Amino acid sequence: MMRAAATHAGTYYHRAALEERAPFAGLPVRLIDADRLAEADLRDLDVLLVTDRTPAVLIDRAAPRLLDFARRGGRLFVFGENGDYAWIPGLRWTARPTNYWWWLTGDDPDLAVDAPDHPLFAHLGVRELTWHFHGTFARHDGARRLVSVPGESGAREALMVERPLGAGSVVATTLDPFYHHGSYFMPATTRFLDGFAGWLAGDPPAQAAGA
Amino acid sequence: MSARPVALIESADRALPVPFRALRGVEVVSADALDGTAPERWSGAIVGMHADQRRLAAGAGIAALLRAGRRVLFNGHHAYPVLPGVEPFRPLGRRGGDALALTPLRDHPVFHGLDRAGLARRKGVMGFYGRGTVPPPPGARPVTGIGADGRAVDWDWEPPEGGGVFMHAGNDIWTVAERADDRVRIAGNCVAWAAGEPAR
Repeated sequence: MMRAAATHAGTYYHRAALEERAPFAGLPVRLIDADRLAEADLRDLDVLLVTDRTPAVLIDRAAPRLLDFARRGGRLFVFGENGDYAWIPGLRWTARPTNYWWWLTGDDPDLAVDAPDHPLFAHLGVRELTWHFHGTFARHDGARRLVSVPGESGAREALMVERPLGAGSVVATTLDPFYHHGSYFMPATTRFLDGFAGWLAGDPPAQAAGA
Repeated sequence: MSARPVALIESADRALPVPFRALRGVEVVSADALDGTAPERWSGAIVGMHADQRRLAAGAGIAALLRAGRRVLFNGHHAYPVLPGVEPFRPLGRRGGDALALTPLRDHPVFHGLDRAGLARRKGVMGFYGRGTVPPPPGARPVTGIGADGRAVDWDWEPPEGGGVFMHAGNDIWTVAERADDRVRIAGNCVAWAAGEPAR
Protein backbone atom coordinates (compact mmCIF):
# COMPACT_ATOMS: atom_id res chain seq x y z
CA MET A 1 0.00 0.00 0.00
CA MET A 2 1.33 3.36 -0.99
CA ARG A 3 1.40 6.07 1.62
CA ALA A 4 -1.46 8.20 0.41
CA ALA A 5 -3.51 11.22 1.40
CA ALA A 6 -6.62 12.82 -0.09
CA THR A 7 -8.17 16.25 0.22
CA HIS A 8 -11.53 16.46 2.02
CA ALA A 9 -13.53 19.66 1.62
CA GLY A 10 -16.09 18.88 4.35
CA THR A 11 -18.91 18.21 1.89
CA TYR A 12 -21.35 15.34 2.19
CA TYR A 13 -19.83 13.65 -0.85
CA HIS A 14 -16.27 13.87 0.40
CA ARG A 15 -17.44 12.33 3.66
CA ALA A 16 -19.33 9.53 1.92
CA ALA A 17 -16.64 8.76 -0.66
CA LEU A 18 -13.63 8.98 1.66
CA GLU A 19 -14.96 7.97 5.08
CA GLU A 20 -18.16 5.97 4.73
CA ARG A 21 -18.19 3.97 1.50
CA ALA A 22 -15.92 1.29 0.12
CA PRO A 23 -13.28 1.27 -1.17
CA PHE A 24 -11.73 4.31 0.54
CA ALA A 25 -13.47 3.77 3.88
CA GLY A 26 -11.33 0.67 4.30
CA LEU A 27 -8.04 2.13 3.18
CA PRO A 28 -5.35 3.77 5.34
CA VAL A 29 -5.53 7.04 3.40
CA ARG A 30 -4.82 10.19 5.38
CA LEU A 31 -7.48 12.86 4.93
CA ILE A 32 -6.34 16.46 4.65
CA ASP A 33 -8.81 19.26 5.36
CA ALA A 34 -8.92 21.24 2.12
CA ASP A 35 -8.78 24.53 3.98
CA ARG A 36 -5.50 23.43 5.60
CA LEU A 37 -3.95 22.04 2.42
CA ALA A 38 -1.55 24.97 2.05
CA GLU A 39 -0.01 24.14 5.44
CA ALA A 40 -0.21 20.33 5.27
CA ASP A 41 2.90 18.26 5.92
CA LEU A 42 3.25 16.10 2.80
CA ARG A 43 6.71 14.72 3.47
CA ASP A 44 5.64 11.21 4.49
CA LEU A 45 3.49 10.59 1.40
CA ASP A 46 4.00 8.70 -1.84
CA VAL A 47 0.70 9.84 -3.38
CA LEU A 48 -1.50 12.87 -2.85
CA LEU A 49 -5.02 12.99 -4.29
CA VAL A 50 -6.56 16.39 -4.86
CA THR A 51 -10.08 14.99 -5.04
CA ASP A 52 -12.65 16.47 -7.39
CA ARG A 53 -14.54 19.55 -6.21
CA THR A 54 -11.84 20.66 -3.85
CA PRO A 55 -12.39 24.44 -3.96
CA ALA A 56 -10.08 26.05 -6.51
CA VAL A 57 -9.29 28.94 -4.19
CA LEU A 58 -7.83 26.47 -1.69
CA ILE A 59 -5.90 24.59 -4.39
CA ASP A 60 -4.42 27.83 -5.74
CA ARG A 61 -3.29 28.79 -2.25
CA ALA A 62 -1.60 25.39 -1.86
CA ALA A 63 -0.19 25.17 -5.41
CA PRO A 64 3.48 25.87 -4.53
CA ARG A 65 3.40 23.16 -1.88
CA LEU A 66 1.66 20.70 -4.22
CA LEU A 67 4.19 21.22 -7.00
CA ASP A 68 7.04 20.95 -4.52
CA PHE A 69 5.59 17.61 -3.38
CA ALA A 70 5.80 16.33 -6.97
CA ARG A 71 9.28 17.73 -7.58
CA ARG A 72 10.53 15.88 -4.51
CA GLY A 73 9.33 12.57 -5.93
CA GLY A 74 5.65 12.48 -5.01
CA ARG A 75 2.84 11.41 -7.32
CA LEU A 76 0.24 14.12 -7.36
CA PHE A 77 -3.25 13.37 -8.74
CA VAL A 78 -5.57 16.24 -9.57
CA PHE A 79 -9.17 15.27 -10.34
CA GLY A 80 -11.95 17.17 -12.15
CA GLU A 81 -14.00 20.27 -11.41
CA ASN A 82 -11.06 21.77 -9.58
CA GLY A 83 -10.70 25.10 -11.33
CA ASP A 84 -8.67 25.68 -14.47
CA TYR A 85 -5.49 23.70 -13.65
CA ALA A 86 -3.48 26.78 -14.70
CA TRP A 87 -1.10 26.22 -11.79
CA ILE A 88 0.16 22.96 -13.36
CA PRO A 89 3.00 23.76 -15.80
CA GLY A 90 2.11 23.19 -19.44
CA LEU A 91 -1.58 22.38 -18.96
CA ARG A 92 -4.39 24.31 -20.58
CA TRP A 93 -7.88 23.16 -19.73
CA THR A 94 -10.75 23.85 -22.12
CA ALA A 95 -14.40 23.65 -21.14
CA ARG A 96 -16.56 21.47 -23.33
CA PRO A 97 -20.32 21.08 -23.12
CA THR A 98 -20.98 18.27 -20.70
CA ASN A 99 -23.13 15.53 -22.18
CA TYR A 100 -24.70 13.91 -19.14
CA TRP A 101 -26.97 11.95 -21.41
CA TRP A 102 -24.58 10.08 -23.72
CA TRP A 103 -25.94 6.76 -22.53
CA LEU A 104 -29.49 7.79 -23.51
CA THR A 105 -28.68 9.31 -26.87
CA GLY A 106 -26.28 6.61 -27.97
CA ASP A 107 -23.39 9.09 -28.18
CA ASP A 108 -20.61 6.81 -27.04
CA PRO A 109 -17.86 9.07 -25.60
CA ASP A 110 -15.42 6.81 -27.49
CA LEU A 111 -12.92 7.11 -24.70
CA ALA A 112 -9.56 5.43 -25.22
CA VAL A 113 -6.65 4.47 -23.00
CA ASP A 114 -3.60 5.84 -24.83
CA ALA A 115 -0.95 4.53 -22.45
CA PRO A 116 -1.89 0.92 -21.72
CA ASP A 117 1.59 0.32 -20.31
CA HIS A 118 0.94 2.74 -17.45
CA PRO A 119 0.43 0.81 -14.19
CA LEU A 120 -2.91 2.55 -13.52
CA PHE A 121 -4.47 0.78 -16.48
CA ALA A 122 -3.83 -2.61 -15.07
CA HIS A 123 -6.69 -1.59 -12.77
CA LEU A 124 -8.71 0.82 -14.91
CA GLY A 125 -10.21 0.07 -18.30
CA VAL A 126 -12.61 1.93 -20.55
CA ARG A 127 -15.57 0.63 -18.55
CA GLU A 128 -14.17 2.17 -15.35
CA LEU A 129 -13.32 5.46 -17.06
CA THR A 130 -16.50 6.16 -19.00
CA TRP A 131 -19.07 8.61 -17.72
CA HIS A 132 -19.56 12.27 -18.68
CA PHE A 133 -16.58 14.61 -18.48
CA HIS A 134 -16.04 18.28 -17.76
CA GLY A 135 -13.73 19.55 -20.46
CA THR A 136 -10.39 18.39 -21.83
CA PHE A 137 -6.77 19.45 -21.85
CA ALA A 138 -6.44 21.15 -25.23
CA ARG A 139 -2.72 21.64 -24.53
CA HIS A 140 -0.50 19.60 -22.30
CA ASP A 141 3.05 20.60 -23.05
CA GLY A 142 5.56 18.17 -21.63
CA ALA A 143 2.83 15.78 -20.53
CA ARG A 144 1.95 12.31 -21.78
CA ARG A 145 -1.63 11.69 -22.80
CA LEU A 146 -3.04 8.77 -20.80
CA VAL A 147 -6.74 8.86 -21.74
CA SER A 148 -8.47 10.69 -24.58
CA VAL A 149 -11.81 11.39 -26.24
CA PRO A 150 -12.59 12.68 -29.73
CA GLY A 151 -12.23 16.45 -29.94
CA GLU A 152 -14.64 18.76 -31.70
CA SER A 153 -12.15 19.16 -34.56
CA GLY A 154 -11.80 15.42 -34.96
CA ALA A 155 -8.39 15.15 -33.30
CA ARG A 156 -8.36 13.37 -29.97
CA GLU A 157 -8.16 15.47 -26.82
CA ALA A 158 -6.75 14.49 -23.46
CA LEU A 159 -8.97 13.55 -20.54
CA MET A 160 -6.06 12.42 -18.39
CA VAL A 161 -2.40 13.34 -18.68
CA GLU A 162 0.78 12.71 -16.75
CA ARG A 163 3.45 15.36 -16.56
CA PRO A 164 6.84 14.46 -15.10
CA LEU A 165 7.96 17.09 -12.64
CA GLY A 166 11.33 16.90 -10.93
CA ALA A 167 11.64 13.48 -9.33
CA GLY A 168 7.86 12.89 -9.43
CA SER A 169 4.84 13.60 -11.56
CA VAL A 170 1.41 15.17 -11.78
CA VAL A 171 -1.51 13.18 -13.17
CA ALA A 172 -4.40 15.49 -14.03
CA THR A 173 -7.85 14.41 -15.19
CA THR A 174 -11.16 16.13 -15.77
CA LEU A 175 -13.02 13.11 -14.39
CA ASP A 176 -14.92 13.60 -11.11
CA PRO A 177 -15.39 10.20 -9.43
CA PHE A 178 -15.40 11.19 -5.76
CA TYR A 179 -18.36 13.56 -6.14
CA HIS A 180 -20.56 11.03 -7.93
CA HIS A 181 -19.59 8.01 -5.84
CA GLY A 182 -20.15 10.08 -2.70
CA SER A 183 -23.54 11.12 -4.05
CA TYR A 184 -24.65 7.51 -4.66
CA PHE A 185 -24.95 8.36 -8.33
CA MET A 186 -23.27 6.90 -11.43
CA PRO A 187 -22.01 3.35 -10.92
CA ALA A 188 -19.06 3.85 -13.29
CA THR A 189 -17.51 6.19 -10.74
CA THR A 190 -17.67 3.45 -8.11
CA ARG A 191 -15.94 1.09 -10.53
CA PHE A 192 -13.28 3.75 -11.15
CA LEU A 193 -12.56 4.18 -7.44
CA ASP A 194 -12.51 0.40 -6.89
CA GLY A 195 -9.84 0.12 -9.58
CA PHE A 196 -7.93 3.17 -8.43
CA ALA A 197 -7.90 1.90 -4.84
CA GLY A 198 -6.57 -1.41 -6.12
CA TRP A 199 -3.67 0.44 -7.72
CA LEU A 200 -3.03 2.39 -4.50
CA ALA A 201 -3.12 -0.78 -2.44
CA GLY A 202 -0.79 -2.64 -4.79
CA ASP A 203 -3.37 -5.31 -5.55
CA PRO A 204 -2.74 -7.72 -8.40
CA PRO A 205 -3.86 -6.29 -11.74
CA ALA A 206 -7.59 -6.73 -12.22
CA GLN A 207 -7.81 -6.47 -15.97
CA ALA A 208 -6.12 -5.34 -19.12
CA ALA A 209 -6.44 -1.80 -20.36
CA GLY A 210 -9.28 -1.23 -22.74
CA ALA A 211 -11.39 -4.03 -21.28
CA MET B 1 -38.67 41.06 1.70
CA SER B 2 -36.33 41.85 4.55
CA ALA B 3 -33.59 44.42 3.91
CA ARG B 4 -31.09 41.89 5.16
CA PRO B 5 -29.91 39.36 2.60
CA VAL B 6 -30.33 35.62 2.75
CA ALA B 7 -26.99 33.83 3.11
CA LEU B 8 -26.45 31.29 0.32
CA ILE B 9 -23.77 29.00 1.70
CA GLU B 10 -21.61 27.50 -1.05
CA SER B 11 -18.07 26.11 -1.21
CA ALA B 12 -15.00 28.21 -0.47
CA ASP B 13 -15.07 29.28 -4.14
CA ARG B 14 -18.30 31.20 -3.40
CA ALA B 15 -19.59 30.85 -6.95
CA LEU B 16 -23.13 32.20 -7.25
CA PRO B 17 -25.26 29.55 -8.98
CA VAL B 18 -26.70 30.73 -12.31
CA PRO B 19 -30.40 30.77 -11.28
CA PHE B 20 -29.60 33.31 -8.53
CA ARG B 21 -27.72 35.77 -10.71
CA ALA B 22 -30.64 38.05 -11.43
CA LEU B 23 -32.11 37.80 -7.94
CA ARG B 24 -31.82 40.40 -5.23
CA GLY B 25 -31.59 39.82 -1.53
CA VAL B 26 -29.07 36.96 -1.56
CA GLU B 27 -25.40 36.99 -0.52
CA VAL B 28 -23.20 34.03 -1.45
CA VAL B 29 -20.83 33.07 1.36
CA SER B 30 -18.75 30.07 2.40
CA ALA B 31 -19.18 28.17 5.65
CA ASP B 32 -16.46 30.13 7.44
CA ALA B 33 -18.65 33.25 7.24
CA LEU B 34 -20.86 31.65 9.88
CA ASP B 35 -18.01 30.78 12.26
CA GLY B 36 -18.44 33.76 14.50
CA THR B 37 -20.87 36.08 12.80
CA ALA B 38 -23.94 37.19 14.66
CA PRO B 39 -27.14 35.98 12.96
CA GLU B 40 -28.50 39.51 12.57
CA ARG B 41 -26.41 39.88 9.40
CA TRP B 42 -28.84 37.65 7.45
CA SER B 43 -32.58 37.18 7.29
CA GLY B 44 -32.14 33.44 6.74
CA ALA B 45 -29.87 30.90 5.06
CA ILE B 46 -29.79 28.48 2.17
CA VAL B 47 -27.25 25.68 2.53
CA GLY B 48 -26.06 24.52 -0.90
CA MET B 49 -25.01 20.94 -1.60
CA HIS B 50 -21.35 21.95 -2.05
CA ALA B 51 -21.12 23.68 1.33
CA ASP B 52 -18.49 22.62 3.86
CA GLN B 53 -20.88 20.87 6.25
CA ARG B 54 -18.04 19.85 8.55
CA ARG B 55 -17.26 23.51 9.22
CA LEU B 56 -20.93 24.46 9.54
CA ALA B 57 -21.40 21.70 12.12
CA ALA B 58 -18.31 22.77 14.05
CA GLY B 59 -19.49 26.37 14.20
CA ALA B 60 -22.58 27.68 15.85
CA GLY B 61 -23.93 29.87 13.05
CA ILE B 62 -26.81 27.69 11.84
CA ALA B 63 -28.04 26.95 15.36
CA ALA B 64 -27.78 30.67 16.19
CA LEU B 65 -29.84 31.59 13.14
CA LEU B 66 -32.56 29.15 14.17
CA ARG B 67 -32.56 30.41 17.76
CA ALA B 68 -33.01 33.91 16.36
CA GLY B 69 -36.13 32.69 14.56
CA ARG B 70 -34.61 32.55 11.06
CA ARG B 71 -35.27 29.94 8.41
CA VAL B 72 -32.70 27.53 6.99
CA LEU B 73 -33.27 25.78 3.65
CA PHE B 74 -30.95 22.79 3.44
CA ASN B 75 -29.87 21.06 0.20
CA GLY B 76 -27.80 17.91 0.00
CA HIS B 77 -27.19 14.90 2.18
CA HIS B 78 -27.09 15.78 5.88
CA ALA B 79 -23.69 14.24 6.64
CA TYR B 80 -22.55 16.24 9.67
CA PRO B 81 -24.74 17.57 12.51
CA VAL B 82 -25.37 20.91 10.83
CA LEU B 83 -29.03 20.95 11.91
CA PRO B 84 -29.50 20.20 15.61
CA GLY B 85 -31.70 17.16 16.18
CA VAL B 86 -31.62 16.00 12.54
CA GLU B 87 -30.32 12.54 11.61
CA PRO B 88 -27.85 11.73 8.83
CA PHE B 89 -28.89 11.01 5.23
CA ARG B 90 -29.84 7.44 4.36
CA PRO B 91 -29.50 6.31 0.74
CA LEU B 92 -32.27 4.19 -0.75
CA GLY B 93 -30.75 0.83 -1.42
CA ARG B 94 -32.94 -0.28 -4.30
CA ARG B 95 -32.59 1.06 -7.81
CA GLY B 96 -34.40 0.73 -11.09
CA GLY B 97 -38.05 1.05 -11.98
CA ASP B 98 -39.83 3.48 -9.71
CA ALA B 99 -37.35 3.14 -6.85
CA LEU B 100 -36.67 6.88 -6.98
CA ALA B 101 -40.17 8.05 -8.00
CA LEU B 102 -41.47 11.15 -6.25
CA THR B 103 -44.81 11.67 -4.53
CA PRO B 104 -45.93 15.22 -3.65
CA LEU B 105 -47.35 15.01 -0.14
CA ARG B 106 -48.00 18.64 0.76
CA ASP B 107 -47.84 22.06 -0.89
CA HIS B 108 -44.91 24.26 -0.01
CA PRO B 109 -43.91 27.82 -1.05
CA VAL B 110 -40.64 26.48 -2.49
CA PHE B 111 -42.74 24.93 -5.28
CA HIS B 112 -44.95 27.96 -5.91
CA GLY B 113 -45.69 28.22 -9.63
CA LEU B 114 -44.04 24.89 -10.48
CA ASP B 115 -45.41 21.68 -11.93
CA ARG B 116 -43.99 19.27 -9.36
CA ALA B 117 -44.70 16.25 -11.53
CA GLY B 118 -42.20 17.69 -13.99
CA LEU B 119 -39.41 17.73 -11.41
CA ALA B 120 -39.19 13.96 -10.96
CA ARG B 121 -37.17 13.28 -14.09
CA ARG B 122 -34.67 15.02 -16.30
CA LYS B 123 -34.47 13.66 -19.84
CA GLY B 124 -36.68 10.87 -18.57
CA VAL B 125 -34.17 9.85 -15.90
CA MET B 126 -34.93 9.72 -12.18
CA GLY B 127 -32.32 10.34 -9.52
CA PHE B 128 -31.33 13.95 -10.03
CA TYR B 129 -33.91 15.08 -7.52
CA GLY B 130 -32.79 12.78 -4.75
CA ARG B 131 -31.52 9.31 -3.98
CA GLY B 132 -32.44 8.86 -0.36
CA THR B 133 -33.95 10.42 2.70
CA VAL B 134 -33.14 12.35 5.82
CA PRO B 135 -35.60 11.03 8.41
CA PRO B 136 -38.01 13.83 9.42
CA PRO B 137 -37.63 14.80 13.08
CA PRO B 138 -40.70 14.55 15.32
CA GLY B 139 -43.19 17.21 14.31
CA ALA B 140 -41.78 17.70 10.80
CA ARG B 141 -44.24 17.69 7.89
CA PRO B 142 -43.28 15.53 4.90
CA VAL B 143 -43.49 17.55 1.67
CA THR B 144 -42.24 15.09 -0.97
CA GLY B 145 -41.92 11.32 -0.72
CA ILE B 146 -39.39 9.21 -2.61
CA GLY B 147 -39.47 5.56 -3.58
CA ALA B 148 -42.14 2.94 -3.16
CA ASP B 149 -42.45 3.60 0.58
CA GLY B 150 -42.78 7.35 0.09
CA ARG B 151 -40.06 8.23 2.59
CA ALA B 152 -39.55 11.97 2.91
CA VAL B 153 -36.94 13.49 0.63
CA ASP B 154 -38.34 16.96 1.44
CA TRP B 155 -39.81 18.09 4.73
CA ASP B 156 -40.66 21.24 6.60
CA TRP B 157 -40.06 21.67 10.33
CA GLU B 158 -40.25 24.17 13.12
CA PRO B 159 -37.43 23.12 15.47
CA PRO B 160 -38.01 23.46 19.21
CA GLU B 161 -35.22 26.05 19.47
CA GLY B 162 -36.99 28.30 16.98
CA GLY B 163 -36.96 29.27 13.32
CA GLY B 164 -37.81 26.95 10.46
CA VAL B 165 -36.11 24.28 8.38
CA PHE B 166 -36.87 23.08 4.88
CA MET B 167 -34.94 19.92 4.08
CA HIS B 168 -34.29 18.89 0.49
CA ALA B 169 -32.17 15.75 0.78
CA GLY B 170 -30.92 15.76 -2.81
CA ASN B 171 -29.19 17.83 -5.45
CA ASP B 172 -29.59 21.60 -5.09
CA ILE B 173 -33.31 22.07 -5.57
CA TRP B 174 -32.82 24.87 -8.12
CA THR B 175 -31.07 22.37 -10.42
CA VAL B 176 -33.79 19.74 -10.66
CA ALA B 177 -36.01 21.48 -13.22
CA GLU B 178 -35.48 20.93 -16.93
CA ARG B 179 -36.22 24.53 -17.95
CA ALA B 180 -33.98 27.47 -17.05
CA ASP B 181 -36.93 29.72 -16.16
CA ASP B 182 -38.22 27.10 -13.74
CA ARG B 183 -34.79 26.92 -12.12
CA VAL B 184 -34.86 30.69 -11.62
CA ARG B 185 -38.37 30.44 -10.20
CA ILE B 186 -37.29 27.81 -7.67
CA ALA B 187 -34.26 29.90 -6.68
CA GLY B 188 -36.53 32.90 -6.13
CA ASN B 189 -38.94 30.81 -4.08
CA CYS B 190 -36.02 29.56 -1.95
CA VAL B 191 -34.81 33.10 -1.25
CA ALA B 192 -38.32 34.30 -0.44
CA TRP B 193 -39.00 31.40 1.90
CA ALA B 194 -35.63 31.64 3.67
CA ALA B 195 -36.13 35.41 4.09
CA GLY B 196 -39.24 34.61 6.07
CA GLU B 197 -41.97 35.60 3.65
CA PRO B 198 -45.29 34.08 4.62
CA ALA B 199 -46.66 31.29 2.46
CA ARG B 200 -48.46 32.55 -0.63
